Amino acid sequence: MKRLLILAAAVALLSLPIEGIPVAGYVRGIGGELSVTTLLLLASAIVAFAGGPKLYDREELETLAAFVLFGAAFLYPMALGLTSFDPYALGFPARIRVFLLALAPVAVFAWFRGRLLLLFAIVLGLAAFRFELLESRNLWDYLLDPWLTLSMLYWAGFTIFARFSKSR
Amino acid sequence: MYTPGSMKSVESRAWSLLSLGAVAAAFAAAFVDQAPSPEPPTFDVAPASTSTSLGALGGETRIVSAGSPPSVHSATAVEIARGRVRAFWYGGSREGAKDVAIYTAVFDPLASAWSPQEIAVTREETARNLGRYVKKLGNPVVARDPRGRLWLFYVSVSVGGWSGSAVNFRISEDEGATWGRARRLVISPLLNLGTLVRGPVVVFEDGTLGLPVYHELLGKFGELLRISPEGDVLDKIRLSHGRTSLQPVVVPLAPHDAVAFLRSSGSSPRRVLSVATSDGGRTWSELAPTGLPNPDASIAALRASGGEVVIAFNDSEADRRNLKLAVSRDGGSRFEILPAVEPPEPPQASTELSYPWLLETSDGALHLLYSWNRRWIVHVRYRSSDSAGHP
Repeated sequence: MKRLLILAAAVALLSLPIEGIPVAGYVRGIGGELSVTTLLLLASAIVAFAGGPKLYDREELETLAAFVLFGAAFLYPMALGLTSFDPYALGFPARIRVFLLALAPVAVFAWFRGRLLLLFAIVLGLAAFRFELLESRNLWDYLLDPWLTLSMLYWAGFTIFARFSKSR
Repeated sequence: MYTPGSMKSVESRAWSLLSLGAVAAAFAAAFVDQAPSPEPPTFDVAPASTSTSLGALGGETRIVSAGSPPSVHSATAVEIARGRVRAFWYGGSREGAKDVAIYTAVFDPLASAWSPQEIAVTREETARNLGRYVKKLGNPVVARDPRGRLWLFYVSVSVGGWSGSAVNFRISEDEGATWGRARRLVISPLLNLGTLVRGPVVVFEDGTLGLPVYHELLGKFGELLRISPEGDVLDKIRLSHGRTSLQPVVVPLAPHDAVAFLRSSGSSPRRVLSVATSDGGRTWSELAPTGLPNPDASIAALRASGGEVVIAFNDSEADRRNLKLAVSRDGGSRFEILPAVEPPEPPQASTELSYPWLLETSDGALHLLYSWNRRWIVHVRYRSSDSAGHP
């Protein structure tokens, strides 16, 4: 009950208008929009915080982290102008078929190995992209965002460090 | 024979098949819905007329802005009904201040006068429309689409300096008198930061718009967006890469051919840079310097109705004290430089003539707008001997 009240207070705080814009609008203005993958992780974290079940295990998160970090390593350096090839452009509607052909084996792998967190992230991301639920018209923005990348980088670094320490 | 285990196995298989079906459906929906246009788009280019609009230029200079607010910059303009010209620029107490708004005024060729300036876009209204905090406004770019609507693209910043920019747009159905809600274009995966507009929009034959943009976050390079009539980004094509070029101006020459001029930045040669395409803008050549100098300053260019490429540029590698027009009759390879534009007052050491914008109206007149010391927006109308008697 106490945790539900904390959640309700957080929602009320984010909805509070300052100069006609809610606090969430300031966060959005500075932090950009969150991908569907991040929203999925946040939603499951909120469910767990509110006393609900944990929706994924460590193995699931490892697979998702690998997907996110490989995707980010491929996307960000070249998208920021390093090369004349721009992987971000593959996510726009005119070139999306190439992207989907590359993403399909990842989804089949996730399904085959039973990695439902990654599978949900891809399926929900595609559905949200299809129905244009985010401001962006680029599929990358439905799957990845910088905050997700940083979180996964931190989590992966922490996990590897912990394992390394334990093995010594 | 019934056993709990086999039932679980059947359920598990059903779920498994169901999830595979959901994956297949999601892919199929995205695949089918996002059909690319069957043919690569080509530029919508009017055939060159036999008469040149640049036979004998005679310029008339007028001041567009009102003098208040004190800091104005980055003019853009479009022809509207009855041969008039509607201009936009940003102005405020200083560049980057919270009171910066986008102003507009209309030039009537019959009266040979500009209307009083009005505010077209404010920071507060943009923030409300976008549902997010907006700290300041920047460069506007106006365009007319094949349906006759005006589009006003403009830069806004929510965090940091210009490297934290994003691009927004509003559409007007009444020649710029009123505007629809502001929408944001998502162009970069890194929090959508660092993208600006400055060069004019080109129109593709399939009705989509080509918006040149440039990036200033980490890299400095130009790109061309293809935007649907509904305002969705359909595609993005890189014009350059690296950290040396800004503010592309795309000049279509023929359905498949175009040249783009870019401002040089950083350690690149202090020359106007250029790239070219011969496949409707799908691929572009490597950056190459032109023979025109560039002091890391914005340029303007267009293809005039006579077929010539006209460019407005600062003829210096060091400063923006002069502004000149140059004409190319070979698609932008070699230029003939015309005499310097005369500002309203004789130039001094601190004079800055910058951020030019070129427009040719249907009466054959060539219009140049530029910032004079970032204090005034100045308009020069050039009429060739052919069109001077028909304002």
